[in-house]
Amino acid sequence: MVSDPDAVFQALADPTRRQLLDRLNDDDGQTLTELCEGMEMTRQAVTKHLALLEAANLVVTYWHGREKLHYLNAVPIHDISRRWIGGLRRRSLAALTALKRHLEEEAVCPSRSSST
Amino acid sequence: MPKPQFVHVIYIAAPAERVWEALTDAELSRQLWGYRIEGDWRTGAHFRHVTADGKVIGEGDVLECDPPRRLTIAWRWALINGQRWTTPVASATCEIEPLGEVTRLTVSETHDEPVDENYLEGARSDWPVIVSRMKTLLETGRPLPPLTAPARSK
Repeated sequence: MVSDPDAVFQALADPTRRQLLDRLNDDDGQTLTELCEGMEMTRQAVTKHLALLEAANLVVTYWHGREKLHYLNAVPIHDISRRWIGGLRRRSLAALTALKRHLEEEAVCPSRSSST
Repeated sequence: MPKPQFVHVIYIAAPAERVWEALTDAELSRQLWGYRIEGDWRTGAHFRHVTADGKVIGEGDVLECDPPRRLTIAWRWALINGQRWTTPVASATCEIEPLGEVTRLTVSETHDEPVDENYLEGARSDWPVIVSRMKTLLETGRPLPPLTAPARSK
């Protein structure tokens, strides 16, 4: 269960698994029952997807009292982003992202973000 | 006690004792975090986060100390970017589990009171950076590049 890049990419290659990660990203620390709600598949199918995510260390389980909670583990994603995005690239990426956000806000609400 | 806000897990090819040392040694914490974590590592003891120029930017208590397996600390930031700021107490539990050739480090952070979204986002992105630096330091022994800013001082 040590971090294995192939396992990570394989786990991310499935839209359902990405959806599970999205849901944990929005609301971390969910039980299996909570995660199954709103997923159009059997509990067994969700369990299988979670097992793959856990094997890739993208999801970790944590006992809180008697409840087994699932958490999104950001560490493997951080490793991937760090691999190809070093110092200078990260800064220019941050600037680009800020510009994109600014332009998208302006498109939706021009008067609010206008500087005049 | 509320459930953790987030949990991070990393596997480090180093003995549990070395991982414990990385968490509790003042000089190693300076390399990892950008500030020294100074204190006595026993249950009930107090510690401080001290910058290179001697400013105390945070402080806290050791809630649980069971070397080299488990360390729980609670802290509050005193100073962020030179400004006085009282943030809610956060507590973090570090669980160190030897698994043959590797050690699994699990860090969970919990806030007793609701936290500002921006603070939470910063906190959530800090831990992967820190545990990855710890992994690099313990596995390669090479000195680490400095952080662009001390963690959590944004």
